[in-house]
Amino acid sequence: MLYKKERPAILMLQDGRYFEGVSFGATKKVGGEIVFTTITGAGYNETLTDPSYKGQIVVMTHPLVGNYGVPAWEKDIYSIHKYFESDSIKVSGFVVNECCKNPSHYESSKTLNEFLLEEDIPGIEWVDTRAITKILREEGVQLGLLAVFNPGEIPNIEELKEDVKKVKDPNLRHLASEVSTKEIKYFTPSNPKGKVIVLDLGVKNNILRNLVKRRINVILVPYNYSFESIMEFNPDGVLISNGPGDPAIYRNAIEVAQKLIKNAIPTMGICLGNQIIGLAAGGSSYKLKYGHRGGNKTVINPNTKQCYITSQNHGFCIRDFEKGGFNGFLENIDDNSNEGLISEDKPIFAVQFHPEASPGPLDSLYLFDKFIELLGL
Amino acid sequence: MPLDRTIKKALILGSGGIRIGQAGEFDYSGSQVLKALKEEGIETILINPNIATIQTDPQLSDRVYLLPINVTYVEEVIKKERPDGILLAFGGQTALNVGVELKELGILEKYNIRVLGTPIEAIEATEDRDLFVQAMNRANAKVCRSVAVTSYKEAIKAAKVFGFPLMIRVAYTLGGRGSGIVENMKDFERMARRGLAQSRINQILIEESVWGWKEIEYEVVRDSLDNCFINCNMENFDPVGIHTGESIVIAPSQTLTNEEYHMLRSASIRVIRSLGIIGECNIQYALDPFSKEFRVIEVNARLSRSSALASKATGYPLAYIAAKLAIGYTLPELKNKITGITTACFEPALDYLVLKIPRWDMTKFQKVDRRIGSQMKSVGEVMAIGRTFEEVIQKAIRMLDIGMKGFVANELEPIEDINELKYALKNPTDLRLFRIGEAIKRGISIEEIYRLARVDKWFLYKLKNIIDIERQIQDIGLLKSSDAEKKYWLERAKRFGFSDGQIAKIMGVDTIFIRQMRRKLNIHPFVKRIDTLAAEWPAKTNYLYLTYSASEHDIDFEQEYKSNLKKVIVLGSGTYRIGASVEFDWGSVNCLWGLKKLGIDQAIMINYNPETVSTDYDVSDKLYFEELSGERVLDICELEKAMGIVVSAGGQIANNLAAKFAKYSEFFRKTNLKILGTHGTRIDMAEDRSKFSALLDQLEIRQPKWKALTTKEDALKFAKIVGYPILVRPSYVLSGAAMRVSYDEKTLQDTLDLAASVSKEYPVVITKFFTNAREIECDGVCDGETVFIGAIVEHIENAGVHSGDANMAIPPQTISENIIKKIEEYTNKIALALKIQGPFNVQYLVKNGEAYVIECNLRSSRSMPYVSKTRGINLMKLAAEIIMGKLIPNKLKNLPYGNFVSIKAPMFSFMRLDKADPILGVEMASTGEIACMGKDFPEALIKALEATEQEIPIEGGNILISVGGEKLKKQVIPLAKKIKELGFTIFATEDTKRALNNNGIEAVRLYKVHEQGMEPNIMSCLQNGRIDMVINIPLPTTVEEKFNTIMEDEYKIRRMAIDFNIPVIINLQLAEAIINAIEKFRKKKVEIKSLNEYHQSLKEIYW
Repeated sequence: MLYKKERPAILMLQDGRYFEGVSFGATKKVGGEIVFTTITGAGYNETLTDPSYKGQIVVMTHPLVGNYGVPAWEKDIYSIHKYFESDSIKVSGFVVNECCKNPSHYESSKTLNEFLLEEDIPGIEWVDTRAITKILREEGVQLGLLAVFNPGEIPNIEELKEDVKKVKDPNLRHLASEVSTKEIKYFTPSNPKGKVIVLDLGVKNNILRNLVKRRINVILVPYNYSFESIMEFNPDGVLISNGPGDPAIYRNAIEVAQKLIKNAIPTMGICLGNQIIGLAAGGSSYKLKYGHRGGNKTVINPNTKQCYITSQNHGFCIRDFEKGGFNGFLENIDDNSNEGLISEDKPIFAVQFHPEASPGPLDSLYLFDKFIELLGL
Repeated sequence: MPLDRTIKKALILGSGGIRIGQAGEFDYSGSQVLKALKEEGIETILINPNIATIQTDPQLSDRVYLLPINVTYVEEVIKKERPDGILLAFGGQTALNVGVELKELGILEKYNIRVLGTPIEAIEATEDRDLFVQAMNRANAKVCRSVAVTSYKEAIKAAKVFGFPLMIRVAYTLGGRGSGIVENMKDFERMARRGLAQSRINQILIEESVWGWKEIEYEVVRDSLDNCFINCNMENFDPVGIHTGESIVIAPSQTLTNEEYHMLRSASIRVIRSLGIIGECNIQYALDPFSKEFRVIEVNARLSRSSALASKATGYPLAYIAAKLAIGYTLPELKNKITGITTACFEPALDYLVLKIPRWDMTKFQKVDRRIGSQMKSVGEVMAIGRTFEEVIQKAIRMLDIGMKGFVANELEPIEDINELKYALKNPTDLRLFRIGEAIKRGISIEEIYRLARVDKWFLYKLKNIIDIERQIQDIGLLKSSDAEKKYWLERAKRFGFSDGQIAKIMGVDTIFIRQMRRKLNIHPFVKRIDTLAAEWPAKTNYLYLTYSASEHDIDFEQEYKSNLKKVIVLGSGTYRIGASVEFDWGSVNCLWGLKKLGIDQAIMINYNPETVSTDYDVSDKLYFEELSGERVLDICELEKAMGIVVSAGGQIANNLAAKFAKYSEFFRKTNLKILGTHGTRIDMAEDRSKFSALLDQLEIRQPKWKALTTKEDALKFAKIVGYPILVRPSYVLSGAAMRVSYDEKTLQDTLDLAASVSKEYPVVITKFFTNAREIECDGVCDGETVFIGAIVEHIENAGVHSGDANMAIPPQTISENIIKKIEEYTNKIALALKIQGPFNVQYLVKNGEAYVIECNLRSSRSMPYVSKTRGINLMKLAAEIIMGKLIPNKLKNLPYGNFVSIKAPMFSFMRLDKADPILGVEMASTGEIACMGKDFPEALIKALEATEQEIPIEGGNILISVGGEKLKKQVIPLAKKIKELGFTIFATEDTKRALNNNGIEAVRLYKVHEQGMEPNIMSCLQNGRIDMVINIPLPTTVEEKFNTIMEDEYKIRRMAIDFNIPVIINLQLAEAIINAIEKFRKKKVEIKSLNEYHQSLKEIYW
């Protein structure tokens, strides 16, 4: 039973299993790929606005979400959003154990509920997020539906069971085109020491912040920009960004990467960018059963045995890129999947995780310095 | 790097007796390090006199030395054992300090011993302020501006620079002893002077104050390859200014943003690298609640209370891993023991919340200041696991076992005056949480409460939610509402941590009624597993908790029922408090082990104390980290469908449940709940003073004259007939809560009022109190037919000192064969009459050749590990066998004692309790205990006293004698003569000096405390270290006397001696024993023998 103004909400998996809860955020019905992240309770604003989550209904394993509220949409001096990873919420739906009603933080300007309402995104609380996580772990990520009803409305489960069958796999869409910038954007520090083109497949703001902070003039170009148009800017290097979806369908980006390799242009890839470079090198991509999402993932350099705790958010992985002259210099310590590529003879490398973190640990920020070294600046 | 094969033999230093600031968590870390080393084939040598711990069980290490942990004894052991390496990070501050001293004295170098794990230099950098500041600067981590000073003059200078408020810290102490925030010159002088005296290196720090900032902790691990990770971060509910040991702590942090969390996380990694720690450390931060400014408060370069908490909170075995890193392994080489497949080099992800609340016992101490602050006073802690904040905090409050039903619905006298209430918010005591509740109820705004208490508003809103729900349940008229509405509100209340009893109280109905209603509506908790990674990988362990924020169990109970598993549930000890400490965890763990040896498929533990070995998930087959309440135990029993539960291992909480279950027997029959071992009604018969006394009469066993209390008038009349002093004792209590000796009518009246308020459900009994009687204890087991007496234990002090505070000896030293026989006979009779099947403990008084029974407990006792280890016979293992239906083996009958004496001594924490009077009485005051063995009584006694970290002036020195009353002055004469003969100089106050002089004993007169300015004064002599030991025998107190200056003076002597770390002996028998022991001890060499070697002289070992 629900009370007074509480709105019923249902999270349903494609086979009709469902979880009943109470809603927050928008009153609507959305489909998507259900995934979970083990990021701590600190990091929900970054998670919500991370473009790599496009098309996904995200389950937070941490039980309390929204504790420190949501800050205002402020921009820094480079006109990058200060507190968010993009300019809107990117997840399709949000699943939590409890959504905090009375947040407390000096930077907060609204509640999580208000944030989702503003952005027209539905959320569900008081569902067994651990039970859902276990299903995804055992059976793999799957499609599903998050439906929020009006107060007093009784959900028609049978109807939902029909609806859920119609949910389409977002990975079949060109998700990067949905989150990429539509026009070229410039981020110019005072006294820049170099120029980098970022191919935007769904870039997180903290990648831009980290480059600008290192006095790099950043030019953000849309996902469909060709190698030739990129080179017209005469950049010192190129960064292929993170982003949502299946790497194999991003033909233009792969082609750009092939040419970057061929011309030995200093290049860094992050997450999806790692997969794109791997594919360009002749490797193949595959989908992980339930992905790597969270802020506690260990990668190891198999040669030095050095470990790094990293922030991750990917459903796809790359392999068999060695023939293209690349080495896997980092791997996931638990399942040995690839976590980074480095060219044998060219100034090109990429990592599968997120050195920019946000959310997550900052241990790999040094990779941005490595990139700048490669630029010869 | 794999295991370093050059380490063949390693020495581990323990932490000694339990005291405030250093408790059972070091039994957990010590036991883990022994396990981690042993499985690598490294020979392990442990020094720890804490006989009540698991780590000092003979099978855990290769050899365990029950000896004082100081440089002298440690060097002797090193000389004998010649280890290759030493581990210093697992025995608290005690081990760390001794380690630093060993290095400074060149002992480590002399015997070519390597420090394994964190190097000494790193330890020194965390302990010495200047080195620390340098290391933090290198790590680019700000610390509070501070100056280290070694004299009061320098201190004043620093104070003038910083201005008030400022912080005083004492170098090289544990638990923040002597530290605090001062706001004016007067407090500054007092604290600075005392701090300088207490510090091992006479150093204190004057520091800029960050009072009111958020306090955040990180547990960091690093290996020799420089791999680092954060095991856990924790947020204190209480702000900076309240010691983390005094704070409510939640894991993971809840009010930090991603930016703040990782700003501190990155700083932590820089810090651990800068210090060069190999293993684990704890870093405490102050974080400005209104900016990104932060300060490093301190670093503990060792396993700590916080790291034990983090271990239990995450399921990650920090101590075990730290030990592996110390012997050469690197993190990626080690596996996560929980999953068995993933790496140990990762950061646990929690899909639940963990909350710790400290357990205080302030009312046990006379004169103690109840305010909480930068000095640790709590004696234990509880940890609750759940999926909402309200759930964990309400669970945790109940776990404290202080009679609270949760955050609301308690019977606590409120503070009426609103200004007084506001004062209490700003100056918190142990009741802080409840005062916040009162403030919310009184309508003080959350904003204002925050300003006063500096508890983040996030917590305050959550607490308000609990109050709102209470109101809603009251208003809704639940009984009359529809089933759907009932279900809604009950579900809501349960999700936010309300217990059945709490809801029942709010609604004014019986608890069972709520339970039945709830079951009808199908509202029940779910079992969830703690797996370190939020269900991302399948876990193998059975580390469990219950929550209402769930819809499925992590355990497949149906499958388990089908397999017909033999399951037994053991109830643990709950929180440590005065009177119930690590010894009851020893009982619980040995019971689990005993059951496993008998082929039980699942030995299941229920306990919620994070400072224990029993809550290591690999000690039992299933660990429910849960409340030991009737409701929760029943929930678990219903799910598990076990053969039965054991209530006799964990002490008083578990034992009391048995009686509760007996009360609701009808209800429990349905759930098939069976109490194994001694029957519940028999437990009741022993616990209920009135019933027990009647039984003794029936058995014709003597007992002091007694009467069940019906009316006050009756009690006073009875007292008149038998004569004062009179002892008042409530039933079902441990460690003499509300137990008082009354010397006259006035005090008796007060005591009766108190007793009536403590024990409402059970009757109070008054007895004649014996003076000048010996006290004897008897620990044993009975299988229903045969009684096995583990040992007859004799107290050194006369009766009147609580058994937990008394020094005691095995075998008995002064009582006759005849009395021993009589005690054995009585014990047999009682055990058989009660049809005991399991452990028991009987206490006797001996006077004028006769033995009188004072009490009998049908459970494990405080002295059980002491008796077991002294006799080489594990009484708890035996008890487990009996509980499962086996009989006592014949070979154990009539075994002789070994050819050594074993002495157990209490460990006090008065030093930690500002102003507390170290006077002893029938209510227990010690926080721990140790035991040492020796060839004879003197040797064992001196070792034991030294093991309680008192420096006994064996070779001579100055002794201050001060005794109250003419009678006592007469009694002390022979002792004083002996002291003089042994070459000591006697100091005495006016009256005592005169009494001594009259008997031809020379003494130096000291002026009393209140005769200030007259030299030589007691104050200055104590302060300047001119006194080596104080013998102060106070008169038994009465209310009137407390107020006169003599009593006040006596108190000040005791208190100052405590503050300046000078041994104070307040009992005549003990003083005599010590002086006699000094005489004999001087002439010989101390025996350095391990427990295992002592056991070689025993005929039979049963372990």
